[in-house]
Amino acid sequence: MTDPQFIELLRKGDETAFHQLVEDWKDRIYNTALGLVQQAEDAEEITQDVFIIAWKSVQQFRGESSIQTWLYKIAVHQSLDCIRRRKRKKRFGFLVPLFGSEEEQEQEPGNFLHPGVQLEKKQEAQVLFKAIRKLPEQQRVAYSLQKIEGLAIKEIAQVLETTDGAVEALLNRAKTNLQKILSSYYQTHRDD
Amino acid sequence: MTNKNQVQDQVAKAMSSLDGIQPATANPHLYTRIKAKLEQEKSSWGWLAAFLSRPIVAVALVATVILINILTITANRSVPEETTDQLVSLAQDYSFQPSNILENGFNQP
Repeated sequence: MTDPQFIELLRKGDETAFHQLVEDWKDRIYNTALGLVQQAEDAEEITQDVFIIAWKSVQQFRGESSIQTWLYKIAVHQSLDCIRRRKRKKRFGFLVPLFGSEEEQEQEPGNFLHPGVQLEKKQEAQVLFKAIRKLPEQQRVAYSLQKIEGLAIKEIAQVLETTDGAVEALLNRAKTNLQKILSSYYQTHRDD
Repeated sequence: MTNKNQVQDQVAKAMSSLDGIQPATANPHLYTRIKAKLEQEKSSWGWLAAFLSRPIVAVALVATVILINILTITANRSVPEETTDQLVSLAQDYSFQPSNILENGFNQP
């Protein structure tokens, strides 16, 4: 079935089509969200929200992009939203003891480890994930989509609504920044 | 190996640590959870928000608010004069003038 035919079924409110959409894309969307937010609970919540948003907004989907690009766009948007919320909560965390409960305080992901990382690379991957969190948003997204989700530059460009050249530049800057962050980390943590 | 080389080596290792990464898999019961969330939204405030966000309903509500405002403003324009007139005539009928009370010394012990 082609994308337009499938979208038409979704527009008609066909629940079997929606079930199919979830089953076909849930792993890729979860993997993308997990790579970006680096927390399993948040990634699962985001994955659920991505499909709910897709289901509710399918009437507005004009079919100019593929289903893949559409879902990745929603996933990236929701993940960045979650990261921003986390940062805001961290910034105003000192107000929590005054106006809210301790439980509401956002937990910054500690030593995140993606479940798909090879065992012998575990330690280095933890350091790399920590460094990725320090990248600017667009670089973080481009790098994660390429390294964790394995998207091609063209696909990343479609998700970020930019050109292939711009994505290449983002990836180069991300790699340079990561090398700097990692160098500084290993200089201060010689024993690691 | 110098310290600089050691650091460079560690950086290179970390940079390549995601090579060959396997994709993570989502919860197998994800669809059930999504359906539950959708049902929950439907049964609670979701339907109200969806109803209010319909363009026709939103425009009708805004028009009603504007109409009520216009009616209130026009009604208030005429009311003060009548009310004032009524109060003046009432005060005159009963010779109710606050200044008179003081002048007549009713407040004095």
